[in-house]
Amino acid sequence: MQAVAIGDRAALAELCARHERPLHRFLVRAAGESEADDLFQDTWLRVVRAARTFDPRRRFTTWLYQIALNLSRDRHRRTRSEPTAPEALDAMPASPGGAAQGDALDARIDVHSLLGALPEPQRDVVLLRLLHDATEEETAEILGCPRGTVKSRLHHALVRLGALAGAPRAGRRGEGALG
Amino acid sequence: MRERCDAVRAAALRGTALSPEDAEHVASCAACAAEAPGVATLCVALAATPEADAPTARVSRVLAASAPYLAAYAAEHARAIDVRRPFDWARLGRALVPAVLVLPLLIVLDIALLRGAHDVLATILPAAVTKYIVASYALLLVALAGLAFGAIPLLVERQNARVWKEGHV
Repeated sequence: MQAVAIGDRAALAELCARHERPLHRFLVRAAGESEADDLFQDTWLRVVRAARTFDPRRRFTTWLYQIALNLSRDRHRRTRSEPTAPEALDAMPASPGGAAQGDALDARIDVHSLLGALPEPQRDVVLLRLLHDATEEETAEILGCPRGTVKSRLHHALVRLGALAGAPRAGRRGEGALG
Repeated sequence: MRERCDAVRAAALRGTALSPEDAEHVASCAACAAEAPGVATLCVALAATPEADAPTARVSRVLAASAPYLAAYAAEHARAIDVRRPFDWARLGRALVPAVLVLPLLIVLDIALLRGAHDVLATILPAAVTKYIVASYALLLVALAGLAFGAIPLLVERQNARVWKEGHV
């Protein structure tokens, strides 16, 4: 980042290429495929613009994903008026089991739409912790909240996702994906 | 206990089979049971989500869009480097010493040359014309020597700037 801050193009190219795949995948999941490319560019432009204020004691990836998450949140808020997952999910017939439910979802709901059904704090935790494979500590750092909050938000998000999709409610132990 | 829950959840999302211990844990863990339908939903949605495609022109587009910022940073950095650069007196000294050592030899050679020219020209030209030609030639030699020695600090400064920039960019 220090090299980028003095205008080193090669350093930016290397940094950008190194994070291209994981960041793009994260953005596809966070904002949908159609928005991911734009957000990818916006994220890096913000990185470049703020390169000189970057604190080298911080972890770069944490900073990068904070920016990406903020941008995807903004985009999500702007497009919220469009049909979102809750409506789509409500329209789906409830199925008796996890697998059947999966079949019903398969063709229409991608992760971005599904996560649109969650409140923003829960959505962010699922994105980072489960879909981006960030550790609990990294997730807490990116979101600026305690680890306990990450755990509880994740639990509530998963319970809510199960409920939203008309899945069998809690209590049927050992079934579905974990069974 | 939560670590086991995390491991079980991660395995489910990866689509890998649960170990007997994990399966036993799921059967007895209320949290995992509550999360199971949600994880299943997420697994399905993940399968319906396109994976990141192969690297495309994304990086090139980022570089093109960042070019004005990078150029401004580089220019500012170069200016900052130049402001901080001290004059390298040692380098000037190292360049001047050999030049000054050679100077007396040059002067002796030039004087000998002028004398020789004067003697030859005096045999074929009038004295006034000879003095005029030799004096003009002497002035030319002085001017050339002045330019050569005067350029030394300028060349040293230029080299100094280049070396400094290479060491700081």
